[in-house]
Amino acid sequence: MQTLRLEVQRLPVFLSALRDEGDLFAPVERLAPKDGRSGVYSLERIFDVAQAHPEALRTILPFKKLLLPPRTVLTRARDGAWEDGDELPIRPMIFYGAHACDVHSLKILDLLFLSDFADPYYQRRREQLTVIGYGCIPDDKCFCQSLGTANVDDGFDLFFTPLEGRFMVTVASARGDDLVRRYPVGFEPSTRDDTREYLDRLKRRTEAFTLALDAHDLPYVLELKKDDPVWEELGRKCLCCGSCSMVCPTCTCFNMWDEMPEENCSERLRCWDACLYRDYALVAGGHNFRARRADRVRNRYYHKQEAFVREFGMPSCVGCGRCIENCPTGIHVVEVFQHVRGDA
Amino acid sequence: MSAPKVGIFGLTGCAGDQLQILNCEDELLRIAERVEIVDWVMARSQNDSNTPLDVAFVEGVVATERDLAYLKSIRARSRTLVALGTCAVWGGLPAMRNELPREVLRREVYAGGAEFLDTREARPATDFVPFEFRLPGCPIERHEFLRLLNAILCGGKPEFLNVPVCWECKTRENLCRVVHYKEVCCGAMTRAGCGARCPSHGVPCAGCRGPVEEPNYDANITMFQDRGISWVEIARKMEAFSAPVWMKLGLEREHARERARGGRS
Repeated sequence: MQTLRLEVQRLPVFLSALRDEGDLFAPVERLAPKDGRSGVYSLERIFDVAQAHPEALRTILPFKKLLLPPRTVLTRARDGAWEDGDELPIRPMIFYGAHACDVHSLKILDLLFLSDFADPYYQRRREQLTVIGYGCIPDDKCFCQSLGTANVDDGFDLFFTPLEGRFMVTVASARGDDLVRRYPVGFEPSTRDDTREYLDRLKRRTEAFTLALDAHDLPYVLELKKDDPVWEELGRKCLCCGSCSMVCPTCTCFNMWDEMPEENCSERLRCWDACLYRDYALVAGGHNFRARRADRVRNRYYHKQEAFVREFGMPSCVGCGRCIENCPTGIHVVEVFQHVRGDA
Repeated sequence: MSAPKVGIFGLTGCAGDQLQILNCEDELLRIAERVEIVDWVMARSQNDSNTPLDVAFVEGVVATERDLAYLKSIRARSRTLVALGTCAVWGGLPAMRNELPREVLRREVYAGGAEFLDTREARPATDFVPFEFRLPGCPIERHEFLRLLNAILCGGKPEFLNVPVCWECKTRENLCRVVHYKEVCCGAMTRAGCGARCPSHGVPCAGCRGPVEEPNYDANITMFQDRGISWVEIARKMEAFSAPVWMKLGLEREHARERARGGRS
């Protein structure tokens, strides 16, 4: 790992140059009908770097949408001949504005889709992805600090941390190193002053967290609380709309089926799915392993904080707060676990 | 092998689902080559109303005795019967005002000058005869109709997902009509397939595709009430498509509670 510095006004020059490397994606504010400002962001391809809001804490959909699109045609048979569902080759993508939690979620996606049996559809997108991080300051829905995902020192290519009038630039990959060499827009070695200010900023950031989840022994607590009334309560409150799963950076469940959009053409589709949906655990013969809402809600929390921990040694929640922001009935993941513990 | 024989029929309704088939302009000629449309009053002047059919599509509700007889005759001559649109599947708009007695309606609308009417309570076609497939929508989605038709002609069974509109709405990254606009949006109660058409155009979901399996009505209502929306407003929006019977019972309960409190809100 190498650290550099870059004057603030030089960053747009660098980003504009990056558009030659591939499609540039960044958080962009969604337009609202009245005053135009919505305060809600989505990850979009940008052509003008002034549109980018890298400081935006969360986009509606996380960047899994670039690697695992909501709807993918895996393969297509037309007039008896097979063709790839993707338009190939996949174009290079540069994601500008990743936060530490995003990078941690990327590591989890890699774990799921690239270890053991690599998923080719994920893999060929992943190979084209360049990740450029941006230092954030948490709001009242961020709890990454409790899950050990507030900081990151690998898994990205470049990371820009804003300091006074300049950025501390962390280079964490060969690709990142290539980029700063190919576009020498004013990168310089970082100084001791930069490091001092960077560490001060980290300290301020650490102190800025207001939400905390005590996750250290959650798998053991959950093991004991399988029939806790809290799950029935949540089952009554949850709409099973699946919003939390759609917006979750590590929810990757999908459904596959065949469609015939035209005569002599059939497609095999892979679309996002959610364990909160009734038919998710429906099997042949009509049996449903989680026919009740309460069972499905519980399953989602157990998967994140119990089953995943037992299998991979860490929870699959990165504390980004998207599910808190998007739940229409106000189910709050931190409060759920406090409730389970009996703290609230 | 001769082309499969197809009939397309409308009971009481607006004929919008049949119109959607005609709107498949790019595909219509090819469809006409693959199947023999023998009975379709909306699109043909010469119709054969006796030939047995391989596939029949029926839209609308049963609102007259004649509708019912017609529906039974279609069922009797069809191998595969498809309910087309929310009216045929769920009752839709015509079933919204079933609590008003037919006699009152007859008097108020026709002032006694309509002996020819054989009206009865409006109910979905699916209440009366078995259907092989049900395709909701007000109107139906063209792509779903084409998928269904292609699958039937190949002897397959298409999958229509039992998931709510939120599934598609979130993937389109719309601002949530409930969270951001505090509106009554029926998306979480309504079956997906429309691509979250209304929320994507800045209007809350009216629920026109009918309920998803096991909607959580209570939690939806609580969610709207928590945002300061009145019960009357909630009922008005939800009773159209999402929960007609349930809302009626809910309103009665609510009124009973108000009476018990001795006041009115």
